[in-house]
Amino acid sequence: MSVIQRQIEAQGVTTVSISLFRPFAEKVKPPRALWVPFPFGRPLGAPNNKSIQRKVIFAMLDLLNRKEGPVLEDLVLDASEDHLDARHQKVGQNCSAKGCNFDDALSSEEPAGPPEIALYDGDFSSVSAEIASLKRHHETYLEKYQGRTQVGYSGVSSDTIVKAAQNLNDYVNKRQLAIPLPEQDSAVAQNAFVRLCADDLKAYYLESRLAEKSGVGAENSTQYNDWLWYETKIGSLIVAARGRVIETTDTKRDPNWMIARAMVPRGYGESGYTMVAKSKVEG
Amino acid sequence: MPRFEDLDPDSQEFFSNFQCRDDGAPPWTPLQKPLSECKVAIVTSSGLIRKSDKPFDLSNPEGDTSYRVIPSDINPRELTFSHTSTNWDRTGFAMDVNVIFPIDRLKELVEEGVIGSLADKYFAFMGAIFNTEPLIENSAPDVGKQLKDAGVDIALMVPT
Repeated sequence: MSVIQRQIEAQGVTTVSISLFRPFAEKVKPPRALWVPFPFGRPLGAPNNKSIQRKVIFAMLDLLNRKEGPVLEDLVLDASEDHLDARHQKVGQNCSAKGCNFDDALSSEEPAGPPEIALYDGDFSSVSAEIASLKRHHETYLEKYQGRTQVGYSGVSSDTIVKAAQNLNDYVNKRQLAIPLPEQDSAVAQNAFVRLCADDLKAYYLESRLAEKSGVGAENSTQYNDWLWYETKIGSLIVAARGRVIETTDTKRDPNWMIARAMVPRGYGESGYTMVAKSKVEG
Repeated sequence: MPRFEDLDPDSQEFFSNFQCRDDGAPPWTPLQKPLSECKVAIVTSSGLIRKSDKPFDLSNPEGDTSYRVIPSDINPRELTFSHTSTNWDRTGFAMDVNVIFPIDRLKELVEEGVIGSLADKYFAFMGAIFNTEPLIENSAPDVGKQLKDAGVDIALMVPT
């Protein structure tokens, strides 16, 4: 972002950015940047919170008054806004206790290690039953957000979402997939399609969960991720599919590697992609 | 974002290994007029696209340095991500596009007279670009020229 910003400023347009990772802004030195303490994915602070979103924008506009740069200043939250700080949102179960979850840190109990993601047992009927059980929640989501949805990457809709899971199941079982998308001549087309199927399922599950819990996810995406990866059948199926994509690659420069790394978040599962990649590269 | 020390070990390694450029002092274009007369655009690096757009090339290990144009009056229903990073909070956008792409907030600021007007076109790049040369040589200056030609005074740069 900072690299792009410098180029746009050089063309004679005044720029100001939000910085999420301060060390990058310190090094790349965009003309003006406002560091914010929010999690990745929430540069404006919080959804449906006009007050914090306006505060961020006004703080950005204020930086336009500085006479010289580079300008890098921090957004300061009021006490009433402190819960929006990323410190209160654990990033994966491997996050240290310091700063992630203060309740845990203050507890005298030994923190439990991360749970394990269950291995996919190959029982597709339980996957399709799980998908069907979420349908009413997804319909609630569509109603609430006027039909807005992220489902559709692989060509399915919320009504045909089970097809995306069927594709993953076929892929895990080493069946050739019929890919209904253009540009399928590439050698990586099948793996890219597998990723899009996973993206559709993740979107369907996320949107269904938001409707079901209505508000819980608004505060903490870790609760959603913990549920998806530790409690659902689809989480295990996506991890199994990711495992097969990893089998097709042995280097971080491989397009298949880019696909594999985008399927499961860092911090979930012992075969985190960083560790797997290292063993492959060094081995 | 979370402080570095709060990240899981995999994320710490990722950020430690990410090679950032250091090209020294930045270019500097001071604002030439009052905020209330300025035309404003958003440039996002969230990988946001219109559903009708060609997706970014997600399998390019160097990162896709192309960009997409998003009309500033876009209906949020038409927006999606082609760069669906799993490592950031996706719950926010599912509830409100403004948490990443503050289109409604900027419209309000125009109505309130805080800023002058909005550009017709906003621009979207994807994040996680490992080879920045094509950005620096082609796509980023290209977007800068288009913004300048459209009379844009201020570009708000929003990552994810």
